[in-house]
Amino acid sequence: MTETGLEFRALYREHAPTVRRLLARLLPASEVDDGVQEVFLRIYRHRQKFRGEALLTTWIYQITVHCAHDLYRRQRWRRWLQLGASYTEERPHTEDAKGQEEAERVHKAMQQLSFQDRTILALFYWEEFRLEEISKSLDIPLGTAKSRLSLARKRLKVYLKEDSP
Amino acid sequence: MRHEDEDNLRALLQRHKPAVPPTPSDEWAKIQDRTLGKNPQKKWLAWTLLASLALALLLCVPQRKARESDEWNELWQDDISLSANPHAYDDWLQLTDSLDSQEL
Repeated sequence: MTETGLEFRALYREHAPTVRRLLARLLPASEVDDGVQEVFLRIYRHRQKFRGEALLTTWIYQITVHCAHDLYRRQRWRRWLQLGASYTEERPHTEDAKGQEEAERVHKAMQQLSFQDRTILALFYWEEFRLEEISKSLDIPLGTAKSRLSLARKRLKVYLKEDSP
Repeated sequence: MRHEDEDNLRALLQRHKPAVPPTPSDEWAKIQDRTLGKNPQKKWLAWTLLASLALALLLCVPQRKARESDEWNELWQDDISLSANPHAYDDWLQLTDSLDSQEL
């Protein structure tokens, strides 16, 4: 294998678990495998553009979020063609009935949000990013990240309330 | 937003974090195939297709050009024969006039 090949393999080994985890937060499970391939394809194609001004992880996060957005749009188009078939075929599973109900409620509320809202909430609550990291990963100013998070949180609460028993 | 609300929301979302699907065993192989082009079979197939297309183009273009050239020559010959006989048009007019009068 060439030097580029070896370097790329090392990069894949180091960052693939993070990319997979982030994609799993943003996309249905059925889309994750394709997403990981697509992200590394883009990293490989654009590797010359990385100039080390940002952290490599931040750059990879940016690519992952863009890629997830593209896959989401493609999926949404496909869903539209299937006349309203469910975006996510997989449902959350928990042991007890109450937990199951709660999981369904969270899942449904998250699905009702826009991709932008879901992304910022996923990064903040599931990936436990700080606001500075979110602003860099989404390539937006810190103030915008703060206001987007606040609005997304409000909208999520509305959807959760709408569906509460 | 109150701290209590924020804590509750965080706890709720943490409880229902989407699971991460397991990594397929052939993931690296697929990525390698798409980036570093390590699949010789596919490479071979792509080159064969490209070569066939080039060959087809090489064979078709001169034939078409030759056909077009023949058609052009025929037209050219017709033109020459017309210009060699400047009365041809008058003859044709006379002929159509006589046919018209016959019909009337």
